[in-house]
Amino acid sequence: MNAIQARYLGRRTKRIEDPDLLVGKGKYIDDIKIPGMMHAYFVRSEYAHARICSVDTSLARKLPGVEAIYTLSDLMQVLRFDRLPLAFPPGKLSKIAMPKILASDEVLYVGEPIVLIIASDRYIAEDAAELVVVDYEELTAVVDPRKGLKSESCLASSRTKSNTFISMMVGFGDCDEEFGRADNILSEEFYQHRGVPNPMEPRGLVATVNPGKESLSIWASSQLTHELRNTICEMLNFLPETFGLLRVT
Amino acid sequence: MTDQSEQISITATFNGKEMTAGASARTTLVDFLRHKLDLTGTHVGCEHGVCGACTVLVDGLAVRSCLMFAVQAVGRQIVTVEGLSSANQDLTDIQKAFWERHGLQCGFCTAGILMSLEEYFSTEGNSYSEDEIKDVLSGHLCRCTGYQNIVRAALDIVSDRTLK
Amino acid sequence: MKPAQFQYHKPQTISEAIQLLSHLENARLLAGGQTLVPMLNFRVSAFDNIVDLGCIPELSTINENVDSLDIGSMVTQRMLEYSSLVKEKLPLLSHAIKYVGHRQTRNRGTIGGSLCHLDPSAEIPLVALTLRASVEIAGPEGSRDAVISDFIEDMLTPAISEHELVVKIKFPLRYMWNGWAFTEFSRRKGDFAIVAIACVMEMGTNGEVKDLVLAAGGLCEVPFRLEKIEDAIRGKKLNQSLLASIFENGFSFDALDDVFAPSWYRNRLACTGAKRVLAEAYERCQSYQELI
Repeated sequence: MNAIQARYLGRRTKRIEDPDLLVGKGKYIDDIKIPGMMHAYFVRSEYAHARICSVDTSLARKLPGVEAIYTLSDLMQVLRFDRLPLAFPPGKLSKIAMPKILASDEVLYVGEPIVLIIASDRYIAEDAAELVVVDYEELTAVVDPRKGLKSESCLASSRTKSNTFISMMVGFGDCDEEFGRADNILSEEFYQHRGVPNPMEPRGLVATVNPGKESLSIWASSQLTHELRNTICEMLNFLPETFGLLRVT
Repeated sequence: MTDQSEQISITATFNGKEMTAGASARTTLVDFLRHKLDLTGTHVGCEHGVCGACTVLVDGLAVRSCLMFAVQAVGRQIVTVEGLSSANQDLTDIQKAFWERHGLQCGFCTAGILMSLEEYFSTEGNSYSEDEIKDVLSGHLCRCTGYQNIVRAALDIVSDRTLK
Repeated sequence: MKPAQFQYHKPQTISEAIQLLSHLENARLLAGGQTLVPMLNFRVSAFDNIVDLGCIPELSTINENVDSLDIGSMVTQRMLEYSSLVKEKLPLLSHAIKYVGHRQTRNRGTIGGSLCHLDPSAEIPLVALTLRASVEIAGPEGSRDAVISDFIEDMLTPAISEHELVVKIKFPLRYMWNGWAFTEFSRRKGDFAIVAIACVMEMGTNGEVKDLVLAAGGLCEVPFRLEKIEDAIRGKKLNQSLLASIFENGFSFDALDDVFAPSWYRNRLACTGAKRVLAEAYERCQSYQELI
């Protein structure tokens, strides 16, 4: 065993980051402050499923402290795609299954973002959000996927022909043969709650254009920083080399 | 903070130092601490009082700073996680116990818990049982540690300070 | 989530507060903030004016009088929890207060705030009802008293106008309760109660229950007394067969039904809770008799 191995193998080791975290010196996403930083806030859907008939941001724009208000059509001036690519094996899931960057004609869940507000602080951004008027036409929501699979179910999204995007069987070994030989066959339905990453630190992202305007620096409370960088580059048609992306926690 | 409404002058003692800064009436204490005074050690989690990440000491009591307005702090003694250790940043015994016992992982909930334990260990008349410690900690959510090591760290303090 | 704008006021006296309430538009009193501020943060509610009662010292006192223990509306739940006077005179309140939220919310939350919010499952309104408290209310026309059962008008609705404020809660000391008990069912400690039951009891020299109050919270929209059960017990000795006969048909109140518990489950919990609480209160009565 060499000296380094002797130091760590089989030994209790304390973490090196703890002293800073314990005295409040940790830098979490909301601790990042850049001079002149703006704050983004979204107007989000109040319905589980609805058609968006109109969006009126005129009052919100007049609020002092509001820098900009964007809908999907505004963002499409710089974006290559209007949908976020989900982390699914490429080609397996049709584009229509991917969530929209911002909803434009239809909302598919409560909280789906519709309008992006940029303001000088979070309080004002939320004030502006209250002034945005969205006219919804409520539609039937499909909330139980088992019911949604039945042929008589409503469509969860008007743009699709079916609520089933992909049908996958996952198995191991030659079931027919083994089951054919088995003395007993037990069949059961198991319920597993939906796994959601839910850390205490809320999700966030800070982005700034670097001096020279050739690149961006982005901080994100994410574990998938390389995927995030690649996705942003793809969406904005950037080269990955123009990016600095730091994982904050 | 550039909230356009009228600024109220707030003077209070923060971590032993008297400080004055302005804020609008609706600015929460946690936002005032984090953005006006640059004391970012206190964190914002749920903004409705259930997660405990924003817990600070106001006149010695652990309270939710997301549920107080900065204007309500006028004239009071506020202590945040930055005020626990001494000027040269030596860790307190409670902080050391957390380090020893692996009582934190991402660290986001830690500051709030340290404040609650600071109040607890500064108060008379406790039983210092494991149940009581868990009762103190029940006002905090932690998604990383599973709480056991935090309880162990607190019990270490009980024995180190010979409280039982 | 950040609150909408408002003007902040901090009156130094009760009359100043009343004056503010009478001429301010769309105003709300701020007590401990543990219920109001979340609502403001989520913009579920918004008010043009917030009147903070935290700077009126008179509202934060606990006074023992000959016939009542008067608790100022701004007395915090923590103050109640640590008060030896409350523990001695109102042990039911002293005990139940530990179930209210968490220590950190009790450090700011007030007795008056909880009482004026009237969440169906809140412990403080339930205990106030059980202890037959009354409320002193100040308004532009002067002061008035209201018995708690009148004050609890409806779910989340106290019988008080927007120009009035609760000054103190008066707990009568004339009742000879020598037994009490409290129980609460919740999924986790500190959660809102699904159901809570409170009881106070006076036992006579022959071991009979001279008088009692038995009340349930979280079961229906407001806390209420289980009067039929009280009537069935009053004057009798509490034993297993009496309990069995009273509770043999279970409970079938028109109980709250929500994601936390369906109504049949609340009825079942309340029934179990009531039996336990009666037995425990009676045991306390017996211990008290043995002491004297």
